[in-house]
Amino acid sequence: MNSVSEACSQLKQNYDACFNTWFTEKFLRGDHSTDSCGPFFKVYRECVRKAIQEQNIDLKEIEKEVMGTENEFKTPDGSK
Amino acid sequence: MKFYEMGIVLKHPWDQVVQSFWQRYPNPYSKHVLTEDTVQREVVSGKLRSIRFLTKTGQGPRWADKFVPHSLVGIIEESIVDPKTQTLTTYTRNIGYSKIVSITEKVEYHQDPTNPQQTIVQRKAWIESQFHIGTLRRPIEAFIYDRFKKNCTKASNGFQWVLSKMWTKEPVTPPVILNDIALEAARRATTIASHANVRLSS
Repeated sequence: MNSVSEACSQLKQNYDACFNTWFTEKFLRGDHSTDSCGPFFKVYRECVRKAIQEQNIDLKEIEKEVMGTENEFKTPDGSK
Repeated sequence: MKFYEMGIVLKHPWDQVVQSFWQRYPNPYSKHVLTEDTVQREVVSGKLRSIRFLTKTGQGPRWADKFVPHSLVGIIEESIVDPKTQTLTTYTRNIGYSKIVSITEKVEYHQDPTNPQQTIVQRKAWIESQFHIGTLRRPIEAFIYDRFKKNCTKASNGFQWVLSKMWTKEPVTPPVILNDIALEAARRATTIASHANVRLSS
């Protein structure tokens, strides 16, 4: 898949490959201690955040947490 | 506002579903999804919280296109993966196009407590138009609601395609759509299972 900016595509590929391996071999097996993808994510994330701002998309809105807060929508019977 | 609820069963264990979730694009049913990026990710209390940003081509009624500067829609996807309860929960909403309509979706993927080879998917959606021309709100909601139902089927088929490609060598079978009774039974079974903290092997 493409990134929101062409400039970030390679960084995205590097990070995604690292993440998918970590997710399967560490996270799902209960190992939450090692985060070897941190450096990949840092540089990729900076690229994406910059691109989002340059495209005049509301970065604050994107990074806002809604799920699990009182702003989350409820079903007609009042449950979530 | 329109509320929509539906359920499906994916014929794969939850472990496979959650791994495929991150790799579900592109697929033959997702030509309208253009970009996909992760903007936030961290492990909190053993759960993986992520925020992703996607862009899709706009899918509203043609006459509405002149009210938006371009036809791209931004989608914000929050998710939590809980490996202890074998649950993936996602919450998505759109930005851009929100002057025409807001579509908010919550999807829960649970390991089926009665069948280790299956995952139950419960989908809820809230569709609301706050369009400045008040008389057009209901027609917009109705149009989007109909389009949304069709897109749910596309999304399910797309996800099933990816699952089959990643995990099986068999031909793709479409996911089973649950009727109301089956959905309610599945929901009750999942609630009982998570209260009992049952962990199933997959």
